[in-house]
Amino acid sequence: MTDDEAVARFRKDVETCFGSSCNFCEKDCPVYKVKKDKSYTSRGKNRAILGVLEGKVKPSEELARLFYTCVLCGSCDARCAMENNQRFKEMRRVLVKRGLQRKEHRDLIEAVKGTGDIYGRKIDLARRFGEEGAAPVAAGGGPAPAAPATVIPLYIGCQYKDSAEDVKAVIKVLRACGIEPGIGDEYCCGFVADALGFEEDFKEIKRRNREVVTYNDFITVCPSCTHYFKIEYSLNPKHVLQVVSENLDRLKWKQPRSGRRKLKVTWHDPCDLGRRLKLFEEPRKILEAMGVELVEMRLNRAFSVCCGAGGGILSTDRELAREMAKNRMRQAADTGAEAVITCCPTCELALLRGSLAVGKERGRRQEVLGLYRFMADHLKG
Amino acid sequence: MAAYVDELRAALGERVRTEDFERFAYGADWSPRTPKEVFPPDVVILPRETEDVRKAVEIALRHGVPVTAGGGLTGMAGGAVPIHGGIYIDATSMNRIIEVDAANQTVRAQGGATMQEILDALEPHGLWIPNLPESKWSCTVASEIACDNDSTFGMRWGKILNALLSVEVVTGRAEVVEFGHRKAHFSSSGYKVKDLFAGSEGTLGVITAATLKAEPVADGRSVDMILFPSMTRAVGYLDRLLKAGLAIDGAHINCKRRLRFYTHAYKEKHGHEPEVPDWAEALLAIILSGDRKVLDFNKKYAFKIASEMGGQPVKERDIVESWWISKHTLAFEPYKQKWPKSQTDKKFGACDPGVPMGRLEEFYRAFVATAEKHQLQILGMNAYLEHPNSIGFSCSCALFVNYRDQGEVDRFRRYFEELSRIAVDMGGTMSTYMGDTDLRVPYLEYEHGSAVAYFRELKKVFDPKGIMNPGKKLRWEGEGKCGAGAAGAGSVGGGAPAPGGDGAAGGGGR
Repeated sequence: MTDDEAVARFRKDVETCFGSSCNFCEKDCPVYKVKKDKSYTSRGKNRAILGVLEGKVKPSEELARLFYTCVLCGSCDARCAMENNQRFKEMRRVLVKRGLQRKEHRDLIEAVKGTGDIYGRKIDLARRFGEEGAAPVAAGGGPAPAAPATVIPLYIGCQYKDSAEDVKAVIKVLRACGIEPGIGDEYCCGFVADALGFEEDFKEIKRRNREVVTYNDFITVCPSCTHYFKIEYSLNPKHVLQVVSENLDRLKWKQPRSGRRKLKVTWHDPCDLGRRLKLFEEPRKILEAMGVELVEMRLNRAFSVCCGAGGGILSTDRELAREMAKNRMRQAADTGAEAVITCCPTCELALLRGSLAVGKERGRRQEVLGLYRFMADHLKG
Repeated sequence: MAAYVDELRAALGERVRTEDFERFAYGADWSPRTPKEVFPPDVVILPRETEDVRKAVEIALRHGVPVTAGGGLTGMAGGAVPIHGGIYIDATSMNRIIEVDAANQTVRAQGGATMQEILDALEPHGLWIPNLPESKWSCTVASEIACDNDSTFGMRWGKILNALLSVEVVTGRAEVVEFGHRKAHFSSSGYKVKDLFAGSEGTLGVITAATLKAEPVADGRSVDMILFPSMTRAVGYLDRLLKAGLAIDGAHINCKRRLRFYTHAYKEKHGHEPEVPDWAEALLAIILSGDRKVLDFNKKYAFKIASEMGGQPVKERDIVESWWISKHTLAFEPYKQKWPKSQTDKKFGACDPGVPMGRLEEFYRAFVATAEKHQLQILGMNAYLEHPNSIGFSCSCALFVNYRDQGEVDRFRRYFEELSRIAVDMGGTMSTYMGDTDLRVPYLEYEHGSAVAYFRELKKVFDPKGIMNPGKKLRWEGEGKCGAGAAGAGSVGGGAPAPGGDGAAGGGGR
């Protein structure tokens, strides 16, 4: 299919958007909330595609900027009945094919292909976490001969690899669930290549990934990796929170001392974990079992709002990302919760930045906590 | 790039947009039109303050460039579509809530605040604004005023003018003027110029702020549907309720066909259309509110009268809930929102006349006949009651229009004109919530006769150069004068249509 054919394939949907023009997508679009410019909404981008189809809008670097100024969070899809995010991703592919890619994106993809890691690092995971007592998994998949038979491979993912505290916490929690995680070589799942529109590179990354990650049933730490392995690779990853949620009856949590009040927290649904994997209730079930007081933000579950750091926006517009994070943290602050808990390395970092700024505005800063460490800290024994 | 664009940049900095895709986003609203009928402005500005708007209008005035202001762009007749290019003011970038005065039950907001944003600001104070269209998530308060939109709760609180206390406007003279009576609910001082802005369609000036009367949120609300064998019986029933002394928040008389458009959530849940008895030709949706005890009594009393008058309450709550989701809560299931799902092949297109109380049934028959004459698929009619505590109809006569087919869109516009004229013939009015836009310009005299000459003089007072949303409401007299400066930025939408011609489409929204 040529890129012209690819754009033409969008016609029915973008015309449907033109015909309905309901603009519901605008209501909670995190980008629109900051930019206040209708061309950045889902309707605006659909109309830009229509403009290309009608010969009224020319593919250009500026048009590419429009499509890269989207966090691909899926909020607009939840307010719609069409798969807008998929279309915007495909539009990025068309733009890349027309040579309208961004240099920083190309550099990132080359780093992934060169090292199998989005940050271009080479980390020996088995050695690093083997010291924590994690069982090794042989390259090529499956537990190494020395490992116990109950070992289930654990795919850590590029973004958690460097976060030893989180990985240690995951290992601790899984063991409490009666599961021995196995750690071995990894290769990036390639979500970044797909999200940024590098279609051919994504295919190449997928091929290389399957040479290293050969198992089909495994536990995943990162929501984005989980989503990609499930949808793009058609494998059977199980996110840590699913595992924990299924084993809650085995877990004992430290409870507040009698007479002391419960910690009041709010849960931020990461886009990949929530909207894409539909894991809305699992984290809430876990938090409730842990004995905290859970309060909801105005926009939650399918209508949750992006932390502001998705879709490659950090390489395009950091200031916009910061403002979006602030907006999400303002919603969190409105709940009166002492802490925001989430489970995505990107969200955690973005929200932390947001909390610093909103803390200054409101005179009180909310903590931003990762659920893995929060669980590990509260496990009894 | 035209000189006026450079001046706009100098005045507004980065809040000026000229890329083709940025302008294309503002070239159409929700009115039935083909994808070829997009009329992008030449430049878009995103003001933050009234002064930004004033500067833009001042530049436009100097260069004779058209100025069109808009909100959510969900209008149903193209009112905010910049058919002659020029400057488009995206007022949604001015959405600050300036003041909630809970003690005096008023709210003042910048013109670009959506009705939902105003509701959100009032909620902590136990207040709300009842003037709410279905598009309240996108519809700004300035658009609500400029389009004289209608409301789900019109039978008790009427249209926006009933809530509008004061309005700040940047006129076509590039002057900032406040019209109204501050927080007083009414005034006998001065001329009631403020009222001119309701339904002005941006032709007199840009509304940059408004003060509205808020209402206390009632303890309880009931939403019900009652089936009647005819529309006339439903009207008689409402008349009887008013005589009985009941305050009715909202009343909507749907024909059977129209109900189907509101039962999207029901169909998603049950997988089939709701069943309505064959004899029921009219479905009256009725909204009551008040203290629980009062509400319970009123509801019982309303049902008692209904049974005496041959009405039968709809027992299946999912039908009622489905209508209510569509009309008010908008709580569609994620990924299953009604509008895109129901408009894949054809879209909603409506004509919005108003007819006197005794002629609703007759008008309904005329609607069906006119639609059939033009070979258009009927979606149905809903008569909204939009005048406080009286029977005043706003008739939404809706069709499914194939918006990809220019022939069908043109037939829709002929239907639109014919039905508008029929309403006038019946002693009614052509428009009750969309306005005249450019669509009704060629036949405005049919309803207003010699008054149109006074409309023109009135416009000149506010907009001497005719730059404010030209071609809407009135024929554009300044051909070649206004818009001459617009060409420089490079139109991406093709030539402007002849005012009111087939290529034009225009704007209010429901």
